[in-house]
Amino acid sequence: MTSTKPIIQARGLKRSFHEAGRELHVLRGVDLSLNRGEWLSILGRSGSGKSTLLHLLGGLDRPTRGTVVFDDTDIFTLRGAKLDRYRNRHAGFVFQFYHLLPELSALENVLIGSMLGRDSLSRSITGLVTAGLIDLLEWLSRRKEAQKTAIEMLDRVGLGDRLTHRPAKLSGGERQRVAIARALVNRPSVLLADEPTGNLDADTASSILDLFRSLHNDGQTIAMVTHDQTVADAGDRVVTLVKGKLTAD
Amino acid sequence: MYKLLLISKYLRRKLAPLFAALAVTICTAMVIIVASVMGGFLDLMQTTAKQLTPDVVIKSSLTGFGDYEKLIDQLEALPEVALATPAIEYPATVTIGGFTDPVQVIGMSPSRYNQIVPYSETLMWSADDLFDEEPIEMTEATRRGLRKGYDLKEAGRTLTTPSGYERYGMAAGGPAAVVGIAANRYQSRLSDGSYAFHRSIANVPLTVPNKLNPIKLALPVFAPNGEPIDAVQLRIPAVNEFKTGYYEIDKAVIFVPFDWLQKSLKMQRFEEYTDFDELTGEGGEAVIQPARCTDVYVKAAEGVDALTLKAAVQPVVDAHQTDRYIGVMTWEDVHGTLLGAVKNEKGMVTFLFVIISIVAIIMVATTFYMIVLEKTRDIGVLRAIGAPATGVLTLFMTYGLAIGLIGAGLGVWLAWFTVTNLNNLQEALATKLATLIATVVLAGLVALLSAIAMAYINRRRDFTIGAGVLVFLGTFGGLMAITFYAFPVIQLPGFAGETGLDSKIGWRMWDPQLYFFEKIPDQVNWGEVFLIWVGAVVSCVLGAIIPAVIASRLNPVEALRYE
Repeated sequence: MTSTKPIIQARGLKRSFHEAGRELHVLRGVDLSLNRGEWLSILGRSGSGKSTLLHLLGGLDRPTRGTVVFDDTDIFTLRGAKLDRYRNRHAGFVFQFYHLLPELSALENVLIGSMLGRDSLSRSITGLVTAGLIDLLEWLSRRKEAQKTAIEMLDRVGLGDRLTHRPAKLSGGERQRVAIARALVNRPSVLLADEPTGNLDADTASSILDLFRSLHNDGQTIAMVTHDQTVADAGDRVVTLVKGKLTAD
Repeated sequence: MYKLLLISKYLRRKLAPLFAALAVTICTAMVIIVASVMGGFLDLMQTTAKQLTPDVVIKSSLTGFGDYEKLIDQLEALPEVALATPAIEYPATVTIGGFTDPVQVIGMSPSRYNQIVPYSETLMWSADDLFDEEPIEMTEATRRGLRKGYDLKEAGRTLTTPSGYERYGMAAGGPAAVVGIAANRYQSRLSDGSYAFHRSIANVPLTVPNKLNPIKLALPVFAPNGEPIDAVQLRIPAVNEFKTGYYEIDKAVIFVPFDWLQKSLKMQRFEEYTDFDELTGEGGEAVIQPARCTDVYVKAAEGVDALTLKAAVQPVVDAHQTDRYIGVMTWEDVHGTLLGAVKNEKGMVTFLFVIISIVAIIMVATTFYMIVLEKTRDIGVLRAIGAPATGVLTLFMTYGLAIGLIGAGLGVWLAWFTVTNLNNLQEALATKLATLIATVVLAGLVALLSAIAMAYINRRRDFTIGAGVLVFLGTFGGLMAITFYAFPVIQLPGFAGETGLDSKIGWRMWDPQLYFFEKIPDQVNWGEVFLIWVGAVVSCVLGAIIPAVIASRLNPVEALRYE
């Protein structure tokens, strides 16, 4: 399934933070390619910079130096709504602590991703009020379709019978499945998973990895960071991040 | 769309915004209630003050001015003038029974005065009141006789003594006075603010021998040149009482016929000799002194306001000026001191409450800041899944707008409800406290049950919903209970003859025995309400701005890591 053409290429990525008056170099020049349909595992200890790398690949953070090229475009040349659109359409984030919105049901947590889809598009077109009305009309026209897709995603992750449950009523594994469904609802180019099993027991972690494997078999590109060698081994390829540098690619 | 979804969830499942909305509700209601009551008070004062004050008053000193007939002819030739009539406004003392008080005697021609102001509508008593107070059983013939003989309304309207008074030494058809209801010290307001006929000085047939009637007036008399020449004591039967509701007038004005007062004050036309030899009485020249009045009342023609009328009248009066100044005043000028004071009070109190209402803005800002802190990680998630910073900004601004719309909307309702039921509320507090408390508690219980039922039906088991509903339903349910009480739908058994704060501690929010008016003004000005509502909604959005900007500027990665 894996194509040799890279979908994302990171070149010379550096990221530093100012902490207590001194410079903290988290990434020290990372070069990385992720091919279409590939499942890449980024292995590293705590503090090695793996989450920072994932945030940069997803356009959630900006590097101190370096580029991330997606489909021939350096995403850091994108501004405002275009970068938001990249995150919404092409990058699907899954976090260690799920980060579901507690007031929303499982279905709503998944749907919100597709609600955002057009919102960020229309934001730059007209004023806020007009954009709001356009959003509303546009959403009404595709609401049923979006709902159907969200239910399919929840079915796919095995939560078809938990649509109206709020996160507080779900187990850890179920919450992570909802988070995966949310990440997939806009059919992103790449799924960026940050320690997706880090907060789960072994059995639940295994079931989440099975789900990832199934998604991968269907052609989903996945970049997953983990500190666990066993989990990392589930991917097609493993790279190791040590003190901000990749040691294998 | 995600913003509407999140706002609807936040509003239903968070307690803090409900309290913010409640603060907005109360502040909005407070400003509207103050503006409405003070505005209503001002309107009432203006209406009642206007009742017996002509559109424009031409006023000179106590010595008056002559040739007023010519002035009136000139005035009535103006298109802005509908009618003009002479009057004498004179300081005097009145003795009613054993009390002597300073008053202002107004001599006027009733038929013309009635065309200028609705004087006859202010008269208190008619022949029917005689029968309400009847001490003995009367035959139908006696009733008819009384009705015919003591037509108090007609007597007051024409300022003439009715035919039945001659047996008490007052000639029928002679001059008569109408006394301000509060000028009679034997008259006093009942607990509901009304007056009793049996304390009226017009109830001659029922209180004979009557010590109060006729009343006695003492007035100084001035020569045309302003020198005091005499003081007169006059006796005149009082045939009715009037009430405008404007205490300053009701307490200090007595109406008498113009001709009678003019003659009594030696202000009628007369001939005198000047420059004659004081020893021999020879020589000299006969001079005609014209009749004088102190005031001319002017009514505006249809569609002409008081200021326009004043501007039109002024040149005519200026041409008539003698060595004594004659001024022109609108009805608002006449009552300027008191009306101005109330206007100032309204402005000041409303301003103070607006300042207090800034608390609502701070409350909203604080609430939103707390929400932003609490939702920091959610904001990171929203940014991670593609929400733009402007989306986060508008999310919280719209949230502020929603709280403003809900809070201010309920505030308008609460204010309207309170203002229109203020008299009932104070009556209930003053006299039926137990029933009031019982009905409010009952309403609170209904509210509690409603909240529990709603939470159960929703299957949320989330107390914030119930608490919010409880707060609102409890507040409004209590008020609804007052309404039910006021229009007594609910009749609680076991509270017969109960008392309230009035009898316990002598407290009444608005004591009709003391104030100008019997009732608290209970009308809302919807123009003002709209402005206050808009102000409250805008304030909420302003309160949400800073937290919304903070939220939109959050770094998504830091937001996700927020503990």
